[in-house]
Amino acid sequence: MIHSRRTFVAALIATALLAAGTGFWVAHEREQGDNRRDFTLTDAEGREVSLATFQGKWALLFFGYTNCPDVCPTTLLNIANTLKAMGPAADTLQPVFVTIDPERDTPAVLKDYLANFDPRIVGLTGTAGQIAAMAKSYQVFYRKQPLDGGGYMMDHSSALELISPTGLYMRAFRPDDDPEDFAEELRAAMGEKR
Amino acid sequence: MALTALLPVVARAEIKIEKPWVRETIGAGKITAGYGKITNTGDDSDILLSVTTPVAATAELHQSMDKGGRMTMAPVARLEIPRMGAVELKPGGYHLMIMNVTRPLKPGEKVSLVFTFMHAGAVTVAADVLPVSASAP
Repeated sequence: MIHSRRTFVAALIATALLAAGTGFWVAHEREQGDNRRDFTLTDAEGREVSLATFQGKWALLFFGYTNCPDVCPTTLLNIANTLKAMGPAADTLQPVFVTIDPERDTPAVLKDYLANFDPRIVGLTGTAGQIAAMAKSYQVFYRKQPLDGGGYMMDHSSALELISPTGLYMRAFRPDDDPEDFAEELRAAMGEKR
Repeated sequence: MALTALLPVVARAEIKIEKPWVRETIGAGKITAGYGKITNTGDDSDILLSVTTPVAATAELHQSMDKGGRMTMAPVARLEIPRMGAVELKPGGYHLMIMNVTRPLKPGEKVSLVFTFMHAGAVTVAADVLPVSASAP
């Protein structure tokens, strides 16, 4: 029974805190669940892979396509140089190039393309639906840009996405031109264990 | 008589293309990128209007851009080369998008590129074809 306004206000605050606390707990749990973003794709050897395939190592996902004349070769070269700059820490990092142009980038095309860079970089493709599902999970934008005279280019997200060895989504990185700087950022992010 | 004193001094552009290079084509790919440094040692600016090459149907000037986390490319119709200045075509920025290549381009070859400028006219260079993992000549 409410005897005074003070008691009423105290009760109100207590209820609000309890609700907020519960709400926070529920949201946190949901976040943890959401952070395991599974996918089904195909590697350059034609084998089916999923998030579990990469368990045990940090996975660094990045998105592009082999018909990209300028940016994607540059990105792949930067990743290769970053791996070198990381030294032994690179042993626990798995760079993964995911095509957002599955129409043209078949496993054979990916294999041939990636052979020009670092053998540690894995290539993934899939059906249009599988790529779309993955892009949705990881919030990757991609869009065809038709060319006069036929053919098309692709606009796409430039962020690199880090996944922990237990398959939890960790964070995105903006592309960094400097392999030494990026190596530092990656080593720091990988220092957190989950 | 010093008639020459009556002639106006004409500002001119002096265009050169330094270290032009083209990335090799990969597998059955019909598209690749071309780069180089366009220098203007003249005292008048010039404008790059178009580029052609005998090894491909088209060579358009494009600019790669990261717009708020999205990579995109936009065609560049006219590129100004400032007086006593330079503009560099390099990975991640301005580049030639060389499309519908007529045959594979392999490292070690040279490819002819013809740059046409508003004032300087046609400037022809022999670009080196470099491996796909090259970032600079």
